[in-house]
Amino acid sequence: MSSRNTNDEFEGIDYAKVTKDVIRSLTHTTWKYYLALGLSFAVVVYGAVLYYYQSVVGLGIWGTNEPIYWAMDLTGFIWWIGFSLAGTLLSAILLLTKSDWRNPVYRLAEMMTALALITANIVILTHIGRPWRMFYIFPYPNLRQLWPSFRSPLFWDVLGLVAYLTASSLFLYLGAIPDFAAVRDRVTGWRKKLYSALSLGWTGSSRQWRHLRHAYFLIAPLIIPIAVSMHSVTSWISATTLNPANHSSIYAPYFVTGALLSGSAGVIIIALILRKCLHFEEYITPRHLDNLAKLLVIASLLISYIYLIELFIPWIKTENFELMPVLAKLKGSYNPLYWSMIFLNSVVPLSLFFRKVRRNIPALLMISIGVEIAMYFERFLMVIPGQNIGPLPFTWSSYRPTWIEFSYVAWYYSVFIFLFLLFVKIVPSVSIFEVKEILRAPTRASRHLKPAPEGDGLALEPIAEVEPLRSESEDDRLYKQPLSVEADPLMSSPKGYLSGYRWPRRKRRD
Amino acid sequence: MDRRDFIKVMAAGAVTPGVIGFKEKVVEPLLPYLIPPEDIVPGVADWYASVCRQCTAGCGIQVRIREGRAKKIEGNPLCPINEGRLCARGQAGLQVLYNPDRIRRPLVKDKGKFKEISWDEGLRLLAGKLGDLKRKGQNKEVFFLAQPLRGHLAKLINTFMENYGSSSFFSHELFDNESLVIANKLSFGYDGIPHYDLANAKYILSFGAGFLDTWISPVQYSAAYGRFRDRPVDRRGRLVQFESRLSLTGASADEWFPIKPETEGLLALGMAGLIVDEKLHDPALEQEIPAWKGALSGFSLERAAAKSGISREKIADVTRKFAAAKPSLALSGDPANSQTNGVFNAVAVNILNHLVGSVGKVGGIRLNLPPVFPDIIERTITRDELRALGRKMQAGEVKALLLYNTNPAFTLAGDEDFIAGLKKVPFIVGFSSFMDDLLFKADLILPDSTYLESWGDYVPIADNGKRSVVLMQPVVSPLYDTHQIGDVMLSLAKILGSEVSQALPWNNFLDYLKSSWRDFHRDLSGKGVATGASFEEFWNNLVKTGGWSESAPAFDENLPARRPKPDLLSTVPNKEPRPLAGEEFHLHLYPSHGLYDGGNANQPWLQQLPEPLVTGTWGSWAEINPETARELGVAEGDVLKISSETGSIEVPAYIFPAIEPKTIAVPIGQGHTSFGSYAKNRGANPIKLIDSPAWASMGVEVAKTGAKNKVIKIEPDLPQPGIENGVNELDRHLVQWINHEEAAALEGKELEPIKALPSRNLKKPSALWSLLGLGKYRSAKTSVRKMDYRWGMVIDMDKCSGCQACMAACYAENNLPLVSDVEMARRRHKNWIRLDRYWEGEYPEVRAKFIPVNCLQCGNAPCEAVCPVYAAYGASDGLNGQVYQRCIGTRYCNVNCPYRARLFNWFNPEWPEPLDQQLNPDISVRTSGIADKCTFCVQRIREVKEKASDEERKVRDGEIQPACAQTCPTGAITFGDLKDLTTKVSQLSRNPRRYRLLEELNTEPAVIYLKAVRENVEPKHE
Repeated sequence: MSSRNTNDEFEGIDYAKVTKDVIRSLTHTTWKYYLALGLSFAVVVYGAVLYYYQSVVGLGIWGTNEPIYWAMDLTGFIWWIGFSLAGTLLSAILLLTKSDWRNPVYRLAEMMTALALITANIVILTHIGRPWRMFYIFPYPNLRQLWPSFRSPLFWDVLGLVAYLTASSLFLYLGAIPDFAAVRDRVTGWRKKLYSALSLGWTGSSRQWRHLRHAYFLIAPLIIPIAVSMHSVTSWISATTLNPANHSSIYAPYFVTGALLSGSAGVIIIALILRKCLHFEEYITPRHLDNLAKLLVIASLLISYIYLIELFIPWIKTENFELMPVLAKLKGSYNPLYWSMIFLNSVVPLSLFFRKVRRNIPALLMISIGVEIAMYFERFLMVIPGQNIGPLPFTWSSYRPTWIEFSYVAWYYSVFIFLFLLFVKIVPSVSIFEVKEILRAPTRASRHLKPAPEGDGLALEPIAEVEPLRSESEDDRLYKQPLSVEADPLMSSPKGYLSGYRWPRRKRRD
Repeated sequence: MDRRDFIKVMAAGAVTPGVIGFKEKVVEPLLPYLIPPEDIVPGVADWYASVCRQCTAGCGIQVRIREGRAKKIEGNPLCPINEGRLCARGQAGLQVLYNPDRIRRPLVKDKGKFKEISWDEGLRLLAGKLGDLKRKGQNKEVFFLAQPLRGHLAKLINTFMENYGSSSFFSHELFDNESLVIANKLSFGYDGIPHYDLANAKYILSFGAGFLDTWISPVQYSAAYGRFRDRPVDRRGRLVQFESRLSLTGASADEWFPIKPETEGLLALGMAGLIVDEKLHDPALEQEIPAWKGALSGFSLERAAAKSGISREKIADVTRKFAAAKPSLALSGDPANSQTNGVFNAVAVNILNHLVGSVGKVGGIRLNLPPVFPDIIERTITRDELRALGRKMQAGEVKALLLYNTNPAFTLAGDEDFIAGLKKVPFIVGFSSFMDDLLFKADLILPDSTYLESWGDYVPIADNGKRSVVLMQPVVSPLYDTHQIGDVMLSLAKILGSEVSQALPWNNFLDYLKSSWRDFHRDLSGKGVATGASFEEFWNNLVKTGGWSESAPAFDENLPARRPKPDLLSTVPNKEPRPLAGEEFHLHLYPSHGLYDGGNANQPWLQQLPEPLVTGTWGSWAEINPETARELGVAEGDVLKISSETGSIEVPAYIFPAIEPKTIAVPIGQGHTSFGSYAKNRGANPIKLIDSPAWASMGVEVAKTGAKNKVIKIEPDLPQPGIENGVNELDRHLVQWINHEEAAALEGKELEPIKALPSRNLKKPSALWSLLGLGKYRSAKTSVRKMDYRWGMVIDMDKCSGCQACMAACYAENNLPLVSDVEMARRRHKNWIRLDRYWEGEYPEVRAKFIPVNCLQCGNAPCEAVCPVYAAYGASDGLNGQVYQRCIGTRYCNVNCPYRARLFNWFNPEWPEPLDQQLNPDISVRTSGIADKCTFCVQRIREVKEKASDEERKVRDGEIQPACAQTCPTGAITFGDLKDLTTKVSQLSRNPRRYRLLEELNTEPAVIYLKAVRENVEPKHE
């Protein structure tokens, strides 16, 4: 899908409108926003109080028992890790494959990743028995000369989490620098100070653009192995145990596929919500959602395949170690969860094969939410039956979450929502400059709109001075060819600043 | 704020602002004294010998004392009764001493409430009352009921009462074996419990005798059972059990037959008839046989088969085997003896023994010699006397009732006369240590010191021919303002004056005890038995060794006069069992495994100790056959109302696969109205349903109430796929049993030593590793060659009876937290060693199989690899270490342990004062958020290793005894060094019966199980 074809979609949108709309999403807030922020903050505080109580009293307040030591904590952790996958990974893959339909949606996806990872960290804190000693897990020099155990997947999981959080935050931040600069130039007051700091003195010189491109394209390929390994390592936490249902080599692809499904559904949900609330209907168009929905259906097919494998392996094994947890899922106490998971993850998304469904926003939203719920069930079914249907039948047990667990789940979500609400007002949730890349470039006829000086093309003047947008004029139709900007060779590329990036070559010295 | 607090605050503050003061310190270090007495070295434990008074068996114990506090009770190895072993209840004796609910000073009832008074006041009040009654000539109407006292205390109280002018001093206990004693008197002219020589018997036919569980002297019998099993196949013993509800002993039997209740006597006589008919009897009895034939004519095998519900062929088969195996032994246990027809049943079993010639033989019933102190055994109150007492109380003819450690308000709860009569007694005095069901109605309480704070002596109820008297000495000074009852009676005698004080001139009970023993010493010296030069020397030796016993067993050999006569049967009334009305069930009450008759219900360790078959804790339940339950539409947890003429109880149902369909079983022990916080208002007291201690012959009505009440148990909740009808092994070969043929084929073989060494250290350094010159690091510290020891354990499943003494010993040794009923209901048990129970087959061919599981100390441990912070690590002697201070509580080790031997501390443990004084100072207390597990009692290993290294030698075999192995009554657990091929544990580990739990997981456990050998086991084809 080349960008030329996409331009038609943004008919009537010009550079100034993009800047204005995005900045409006940062500066204009309604009472609904404050209500949502207040509600989520209230739940955050409630969860924090609960956590304090847990730290003083002990983990016994959970509904866990012998031998179900991991319950909604690990379920939540895996879910949040999975939820985080699609954002940055998708952004990086689409960047490298030069699929520029990513441009309007990638920023919110990356925000989702970073914030989901922060939430995952909070899940870990609630999971640990003695969180005040959690620093033991880091390899720091100490008098006891004790290192963490490099054999433990948990250690690698923490490392992976830190690495993925770092990489995705960096990726998010780098991509947002030009936007911060754009916002800086249009706002006043405390925002001015904030964005001045955030934009790191971005002026939009071609040198800065070049450096940004270098950095961006260096991180993007790194993101992919980090993201995949992060999810694989998380899967090895379960897969290295001797628990029958978990001790399986399919776990790494299982987790990554699940994460892809959960992540793409997450991107869709957030895109739909932001689109509605921040009035980005013009930027996040049905075509973007269509593409995301295609991704979702592919992920759904992949996970369905893994669900089959998961049943197949125990079936061909002769002993009943593996079979019992499967039976418990198929017809035991877990069967409502299992079958609703199959329905929501494998059956319902098949409807996305139809273009009508893909373009139907309420349907898409419901399917995506269904997938997220089913993914929670799936993670639950990964964590619990392997533990309680272990090798010794006498140690089997059953688990039912208590109000503590549900409170914690609410806490995790509220933390995410609260942070997202804050971020959405700080970070432009649609990339200003990258949307501009795929807009039809200003034509000669629109020169009277005061196009950008060379090398910038973004932030021009205070917002107040932007002229009202004009509908498509005859002039525009007359001059179809794009404006060539000679000064920056990249600007001449129809694909824009970044998508036309070529790896820098060593300059030949004459 | 110190560094730790600072770090805590900083770490927590990152998420929750203002978090301060996480509670990690649970137990503050407290030293009992600043300047210790001269003969006590702080940090070095002293052991004091005494006697266990948790039941009437009278096992010798030794108590470990550190800095003036009792830490652990173990069996006294010098005591011939228990030979160093102890049961779960014995282990829990510390919780009698340190029970938070002890009565701490004398109390008097004042306007319906108890008021604290001084001892002086209390004694004067009692003496005044007794003096008054005597002046009024009502001294005969003073009754004294006590627990069974078989020592000088009984003699003292008897002397006191006689001189006061009342002969009403009795012992009362629910399980007093009255029928058995009467039957023995009728059969053998022997008044008491003879020695059942289980160890040497080849065939034991048990009619409900729970000798591994609670019957008479369980530790002694368990030890004998260990020997009974531990013989080559051709000489090893077989155990056949007939009972309506599978008991712990029945679970260990080769064959178990569920019989209809109340048919034990008919069954025994049917067998006797067959023996006579088929001339299987002892040849020496040839002349008697025609007479026996006549006497047994009314009891045919057909009748026995029809009544008991066991097929004629099976009974005949068992009878033939029983008669052919010499020596063989038949036992009649509580279900048989505790019926209204109990004496008849017990006599019938005695006749069976007589006919096969087992009376007076090795491996049979051996009649003991009369006790060394003839007059120190208290007389047990009979059922008739109890009824008479109840009527007397009703009529107001009892003016004062003195009670000592007996609780008739609980144990006679169904006897309406007695309960109503208690209210009419104007003056009740309690000498007990606890506010039990009756005591809180008392007018005056003069609290006794517990048995660990008192002097005394005790004649075991059943000895193995070595007549013994076990000495009780105070191992700690009294915790509270209490006095032992002996001292109180002597003081009372002084105040009362006249004949009483003349008869009891001693100042304290110790003087009284010594004076009696001085006479005994004189007697012994007169007989020329070497006893030490002076009495003091003799006495000191007694105190040190824990008592006196004869060096060799001796029995009453005057047998011909003592054998049962054929006309015996006609003299014993045989009441036909009352047939059940249509909907009625037989009520089968059984002594609770931990709580016995309810007297131990105030000890939290025993409350949390699961009943081994139901795995229930902290409550009551009613066991019902699955088929019957299906018919009645009863599921587990449905509350059933069980009602009889005398009362009704409501208890949740438990579906029990091994119970006769028309029988409903309820454990005795719960349902106290007052007995301290651990016992009060918990479960139901089924004794309400019966009107006399003849309890196993009741018809009761059972109805569903519609309510639900969870049975608190360790077993997983059902149904779950695969284990819908009871937890079974799912063909995973967890508890491996073999039959005698297989065992015979294996005999004499020896397997290769076990590969329980950490396997990663067995690997050679890889080529690359060596090339880099790093080879030495691969096998650095913990290499096999450099390892001094590899600790291992062998658990012989053939001997393991499932008595759970190991679990209770572990509670005491390793500071395991108390698990409340709420936590237990959430299935958060804290058992470092636990007992898994699997059902096999369906009624009536049902079996319960036990396997004790502790940390298997794997050589290739899954827990070690996954801990991110090295809290779980492999120690250099093969143990899987756990560093509590390092643990951050990820619970990864718990999840990855396939045996689920690792546990997690969900909360900070709490020990209500003064239970915390029992905590073992050698092992740390685990706070909330830490994983822990069995350590093979690492503190004991370290202690011995350090001692050995001081003496520059290796640890000797058997020098280290983990608490479980030390106490194991049957001797099933052996601990030692697997690396040294000469040790006992290593020899046993090469036994061809060995297997390891889930060996296919390649965890290389160092706990090795030996397969049990039982009859009728399907050979496993692997």
